Amino acid sequence: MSRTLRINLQTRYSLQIMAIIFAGMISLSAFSVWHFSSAAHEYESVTMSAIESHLEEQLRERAEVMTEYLAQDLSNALLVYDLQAMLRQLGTATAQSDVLFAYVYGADGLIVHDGSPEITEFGRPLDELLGWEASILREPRAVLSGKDLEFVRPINLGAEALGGVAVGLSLKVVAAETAGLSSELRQLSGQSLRKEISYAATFTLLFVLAGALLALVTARRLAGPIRRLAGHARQVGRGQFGQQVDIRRNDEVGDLVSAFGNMQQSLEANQKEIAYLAYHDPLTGLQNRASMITALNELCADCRQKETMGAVLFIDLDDFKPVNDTLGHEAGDAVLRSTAKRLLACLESDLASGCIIGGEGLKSAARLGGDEFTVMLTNLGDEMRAASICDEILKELSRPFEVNGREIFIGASIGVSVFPQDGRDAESLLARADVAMYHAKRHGKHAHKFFEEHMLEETRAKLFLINDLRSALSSEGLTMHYQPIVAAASGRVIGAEALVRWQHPRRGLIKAAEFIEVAEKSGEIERLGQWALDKVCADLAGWRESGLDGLFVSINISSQQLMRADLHDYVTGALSRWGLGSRDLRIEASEDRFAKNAEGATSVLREWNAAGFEIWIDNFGSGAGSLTSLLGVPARGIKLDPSFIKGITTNERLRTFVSSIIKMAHSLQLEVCAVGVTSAALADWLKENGCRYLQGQFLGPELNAENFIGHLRFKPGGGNDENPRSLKAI
Amino acid sequence: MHNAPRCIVVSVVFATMLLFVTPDPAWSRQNSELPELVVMSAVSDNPQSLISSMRPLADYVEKKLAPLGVKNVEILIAENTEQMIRFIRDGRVDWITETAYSAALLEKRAGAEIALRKWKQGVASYRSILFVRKDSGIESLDQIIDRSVAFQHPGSTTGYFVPRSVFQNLGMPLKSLRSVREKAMPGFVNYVFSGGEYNSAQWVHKGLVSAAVLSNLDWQRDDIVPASIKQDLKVIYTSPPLPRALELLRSDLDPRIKAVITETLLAAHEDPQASEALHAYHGTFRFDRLDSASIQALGEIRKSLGNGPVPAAGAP
Repeated sequence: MSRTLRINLQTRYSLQIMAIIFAGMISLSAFSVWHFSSAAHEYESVTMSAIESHLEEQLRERAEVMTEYLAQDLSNALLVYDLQAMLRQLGTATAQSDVLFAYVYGADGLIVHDGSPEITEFGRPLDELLGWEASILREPRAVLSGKDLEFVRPINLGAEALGGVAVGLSLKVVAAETAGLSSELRQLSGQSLRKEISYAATFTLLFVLAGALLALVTARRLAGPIRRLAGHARQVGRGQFGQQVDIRRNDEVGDLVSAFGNMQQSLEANQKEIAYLAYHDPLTGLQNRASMITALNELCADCRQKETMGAVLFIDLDDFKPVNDTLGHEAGDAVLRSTAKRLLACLESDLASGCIIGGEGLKSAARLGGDEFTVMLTNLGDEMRAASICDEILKELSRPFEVNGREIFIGASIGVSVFPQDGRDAESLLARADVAMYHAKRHGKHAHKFFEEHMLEETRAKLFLINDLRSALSSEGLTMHYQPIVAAASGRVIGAEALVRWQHPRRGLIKAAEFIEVAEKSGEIERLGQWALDKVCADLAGWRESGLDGLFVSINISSQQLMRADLHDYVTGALSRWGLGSRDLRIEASEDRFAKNAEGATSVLREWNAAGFEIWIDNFGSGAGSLTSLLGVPARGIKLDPSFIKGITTNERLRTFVSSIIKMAHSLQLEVCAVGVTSAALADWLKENGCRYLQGQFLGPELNAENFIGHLRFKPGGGNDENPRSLKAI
Repeated sequence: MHNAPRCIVVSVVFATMLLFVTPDPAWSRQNSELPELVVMSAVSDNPQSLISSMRPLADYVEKKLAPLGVKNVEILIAENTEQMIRFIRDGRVDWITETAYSAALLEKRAGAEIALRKWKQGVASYRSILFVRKDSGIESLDQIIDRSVAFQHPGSTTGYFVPRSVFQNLGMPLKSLRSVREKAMPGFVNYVFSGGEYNSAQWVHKGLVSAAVLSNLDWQRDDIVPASIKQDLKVIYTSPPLPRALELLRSDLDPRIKAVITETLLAAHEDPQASEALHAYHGTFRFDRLDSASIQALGEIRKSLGNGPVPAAGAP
């Protein structure tokens, strides 16, 4: 969460809605106050003008009444010039604050009395005093003059005009009263305005409060589900899927909740799948390595507790790789699936009953990867029980696999480690079973081996050997030796078989078979093959330069390499680099390779053949291969295994057998080369029985390139078909 | 103690009954040794205020008369001098207060006796003065001939009887004008009643009349002759002194009663119990016997009354 101030949705919406309501109410209140105030102004001015006119009217009426009384009282006084009566009457009138003047005037329009004891205005013309022709009036009249109201009432005696009375009333009083009223009104309207403002403020406050409540409710309604959803999302994030969010809303929030629900479901499904994948092998449905390690540790704990024997079976399919390489991964996968099924079938058979975890095959079997499987066994009375289960498994796996209508033979090797003597935890048990399996493989495959301490040493040695091989490859620790191949008829050297030799700094010379196996296992075989090819080509080219033409070199290529599509390009490239051709190189491939994967190998060999390379089947007769298996192979010939011909001179039946093999090969139009010819008698016999090429210590030792060329130069006619070296000369 | 307002009402009602219902009630007193009732009287057109001013003195005197068997001193106001003359002749009133001229008239026509001088408003005597505008060129009374003069009203001693007598004694013929507007007739002293002292002063000042007459007391009053006016006026004649007011007794009133009233009034100013009553009674300072000047003045008045018919005062 950010450390900066976080305003949540609810607060934000609440504040926004409140702000809107507040602004609205303020505007409304301001408008109503303004409206009230202007209305009050208008009302005041209208009222004031009405009051003013009313007061004026009142004043006029007062003047009228006053003059009427004066006229009544003074008519006689005027007649007799009773100034005293006039003084009394007018004095009463002028004593009033708003009466500016009160005059009695005579028929001549001159002032008779002005209400003052001295009658200061006596004799002055009324018209002059008033500023208008008042004395000639016959009827009463009111005149507004500035701020004053002048009222003149003539006094008549019958038809005779005696004069009259004139009073002046000040509008000042009216004005003052009006002003007083106005200020009172203003005060009132001010009070009302204040009241209005306080009402407005109260209403605003109330509305804002109500609005705040509403906003809170609304925002809560909006943000509440989102918050719950967020909480739920956090739970889901922690992997607690639990229940779905229970919010039923028919709006966007509802959509969100529903979408979230869907997402949760799909997440949960994915999670389950991931969990499944994390602990299971997707191809076979068996447990994977991680799951198996856990199960094995549990098994250890269980066995420890029950004080029973447990075992781990490390199963590795034999020669599975060629299946993948030649028939494709789908075929390989099919084999693996079938393997898993067979394993499960074995485990769930009566044989294994009581020994498997939880009584379920699926809990006991696992696939570690590639063609490696494990089986965990528990409650074993003795090792024999495990052995018999191993045998059963081996038996099951030796049955052919049917893939795409084709039968494939594979088999397996099993290493067994036993709890507690071989290890007390998953790691050590598994490592030891692996070692044992490796030994099983090395000792003929299709078998099981219980772990023994010395195996660990051998494995360790093998491990060191791999490292040494790697450094040998980088530091020219390997050497290439050549053993001459002689044409039996002429006895001349026509070529040589290239043989890789490794002079180990501590162990001395190590046999090719040993380190090639190591190289194949460790993946260094490729580098080794390339090194050998380059070396052979270089030596061949060197020989050419030395004038030795027409010699070929026969090179062993591991079946693993042979299947590689890019090998062909690499070989062609190397040859052309050294100015050599396909005829300068012969390919030797082990007979047993073809037997295992005849179909795939055959098609690859055809390609080599088509490119002009001669293919020879090496070590013929040493393995399970049969002539029939060679029927479709586009080979130039076969090389008889040394073990095959070793006893020919002494063993009559063997002689017959080899002789018939040679014949059969011929009938298949295959040439025959005998390897391991150790004596002249043997050479002779072979020659007589149709063996065209010979190779062996008797015919020429393994020599490095330089010595090889020297050896040939020493023998006159070496390397020339036209001048073959006599067998006898050797 | 009497309840004053009730007494007034009773008195007025009683007087009215006497006036209208019983034309001659004198018999009741003529046939008895001493009357139980004494009636005090005066002339006025405003009887109510006069009664209230007379009442305290009436009560005071009533107490003094009680030993004589007089039970009540009532007040009866006459509207004018003529009515007063009838009241006296009819024996309906016993004790009258009046000014000098009216007193002389009541004496002559109704046989009332002038008993005492009343120091009305604290004044024992006063004079009549005649004034003109300074710029009128009039210096003496004989210049009033052909001109107009404002007299006060027909019942006024100083404002009418005195100047009239003066002009008559000078042999100047008098003519009455109806109105101040009326033109003066040559060969006469044209007189017009102003109706009030203020009018008289103003009329002269404003040139409506050539001269006017006031008592010396009124002449001194600023509300009647404001200073600003007085500075334009001048007095060309001043009469000899006249008694300010007089107390009269009906001549055929029982002498014992006459004596008690006279003695009571003469001594009243020395009696603290009477001071309020005296004050209420026209601010009277005291009562005393007529001095020589008063007697002389009355003589002059009696002399003028003797010259031909005398109009009844109070009926102009």
